[in-house]
Amino acid sequence: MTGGIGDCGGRLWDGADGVRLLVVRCGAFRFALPTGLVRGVVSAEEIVPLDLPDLEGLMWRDGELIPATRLHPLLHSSRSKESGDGHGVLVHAEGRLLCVMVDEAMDLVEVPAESIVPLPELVKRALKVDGLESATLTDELLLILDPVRLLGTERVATLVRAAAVAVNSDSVSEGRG
Amino acid sequence: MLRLIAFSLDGEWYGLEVSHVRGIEPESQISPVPRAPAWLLGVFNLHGTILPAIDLRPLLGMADRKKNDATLLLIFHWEGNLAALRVDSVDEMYELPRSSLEPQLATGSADPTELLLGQVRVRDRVIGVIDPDRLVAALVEE
Repeated sequence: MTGGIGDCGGRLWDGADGVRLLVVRCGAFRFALPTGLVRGVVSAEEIVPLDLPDLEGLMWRDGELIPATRLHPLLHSSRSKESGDGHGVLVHAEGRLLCVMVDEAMDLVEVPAESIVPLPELVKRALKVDGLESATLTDELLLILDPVRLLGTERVATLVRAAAVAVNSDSVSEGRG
Repeated sequence: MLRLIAFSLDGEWYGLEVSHVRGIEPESQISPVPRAPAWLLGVFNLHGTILPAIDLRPLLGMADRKKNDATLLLIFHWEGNLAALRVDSVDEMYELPRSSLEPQLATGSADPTELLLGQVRVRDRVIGVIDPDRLVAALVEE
């Protein structure tokens, strides 16, 4: 990876001339996540795995319990077998941190703001999902994904509750990140 | 007069009125999108605009077919929007009396009358005339 992906620093990373995006791979697809949503990238090794519906695992950062979930089911995609364990992208969701797991966090890029264009209405209607509404046209066409909108408020709340239940169970030993 | 651009899909002929056609392009890089219905091949960049690439085969009851070197994208518009149909080939433009449009389809494929204005007969061909408005309505119902 290039560009110091590990810690996006919580800043709104819009450059003077462009918009900064984190490029990730999830199954057969590559997406760009606005870095304004991203609070960091972690190795999947930092996540305590759980065998629960939707809740892939848990991690801790600065004493905060962070639920981890995969985007693949929401994208109707399979996890790439070549990815290894993958990465977790920390995003702000409903006032707390959430970890969305991807096959690979690939690169930080900056694109001209004018290169970001909306997806056609026909496509948005066909996909029937929030969080996929625009793309950037530079050397390649990259879909811009808002993972929090893709998940939705209810799912995020469910993940937070599930994480709280899991951490209080005997099956999870607490760690500090 | 009825002015049609005729195109083929697996040996069957269909047409769009010229007034709806914006161009013909060789198929370039189409980016797949997640959760796409069967008819949505993906999206691509045409001169700075993102267009959906549509495969008519699922709507016409045809078998899936991979892109080959000769595949073309027929760019069409409806209600201010642009989209592209993946087609095998594009034939000449036909100019016919509008009275030659017949209401019944007889191409041997699944009967997609909900997509068609009707059909015309030109020499040895039967050409199903697609209505873009009906096509788009069918797509969003999928």
